[in-house]
Amino acid sequence: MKAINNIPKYIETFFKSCEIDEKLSRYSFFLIRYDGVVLYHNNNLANSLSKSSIGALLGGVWQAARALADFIPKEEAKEGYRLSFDTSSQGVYIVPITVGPEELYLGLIYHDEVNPGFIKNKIREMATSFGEFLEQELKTISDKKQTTSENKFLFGDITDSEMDQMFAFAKH
Amino acid sequence: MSFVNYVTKEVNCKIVYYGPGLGGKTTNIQYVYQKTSGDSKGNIISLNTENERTLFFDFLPLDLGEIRGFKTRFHLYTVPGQVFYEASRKLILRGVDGIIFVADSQVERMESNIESLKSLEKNLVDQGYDIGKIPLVMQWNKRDLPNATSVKDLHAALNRWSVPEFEAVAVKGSGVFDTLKTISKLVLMNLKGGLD
Repeated sequence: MKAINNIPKYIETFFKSCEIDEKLSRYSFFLIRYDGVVLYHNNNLANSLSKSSIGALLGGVWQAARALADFIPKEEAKEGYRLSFDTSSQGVYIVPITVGPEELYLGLIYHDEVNPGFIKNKIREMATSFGEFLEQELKTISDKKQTTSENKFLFGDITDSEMDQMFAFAKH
Repeated sequence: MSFVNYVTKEVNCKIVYYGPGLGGKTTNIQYVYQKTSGDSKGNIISLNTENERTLFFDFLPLDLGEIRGFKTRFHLYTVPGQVFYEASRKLILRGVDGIIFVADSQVERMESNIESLKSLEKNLVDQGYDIGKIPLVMQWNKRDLPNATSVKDLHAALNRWSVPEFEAVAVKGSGVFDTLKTISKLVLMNLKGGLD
């Protein structure tokens, strides 16, 4: 479902209108795809890592944990997984958001938190709200229009000269 | 699966360096990192064992500048090469747009090359990819070593799809950017999405 590529159009709208956003303004959160591509971030971390690097790590840790969880008999899973790596006041928390056949992940990195349980609960609510919001928004997209434009190659005729220009950054 | 962000006019693509252990995958992206000017690269992330072997993956985000109004960002990953990390390799291949298979040219590593290529084929099939259709480039690394197999033999043993292939000495940087440029071009040419 390439309609997922339109998600950034809705993310800003959602997070700006989201009451929870204000409550979480002291923290860093990232909305990522399963392969770690960052769709939205509100990064307040004093850290040298780029958003892409944080996205790759969040995606990687989720996938690794998910693979481990496959060892657990499926009939025991009565609800979806969340991933928490924390102390009593700081940590990382990841919640999945199902959008059609795809899964996105909302990752929160927090510190100096008196009540992490409250924050985690808010993040779960946020994930649920965003999933519902997105489903609704994506329903309005015409499938026919999507199919037509998605079958076009974006750069099918890219030239060697254009590639040379793109790689001009390399120091020789 | 590549990601086209029409709001920010960005294209994100995922390239994975695959191959046997100690073949030079990490060395490739370390060289790219060293030779890339500050604005174009992010931090290199390496999840290693104590003895500097790749445990989960190496990751380097690379901004390749603009093409036709779109900023292009490539995410370079390496897989752990050691045989027992098969589960990790499978995870890292998820959403891949292009693969560089880094083969070790040394005669005694041919079996490992073949084994690794078989694992790549299997892992791609498991995730619904066809190795004959996904952008793929071969790199024959360590060409400077005296015990290197001939390119003809490497081609015969490993490149039955006749995809582009490059000789390389990754520790010195020879062939590193040629390989990356070629896979980048193939990935971009293969990119579907349409212009909204």
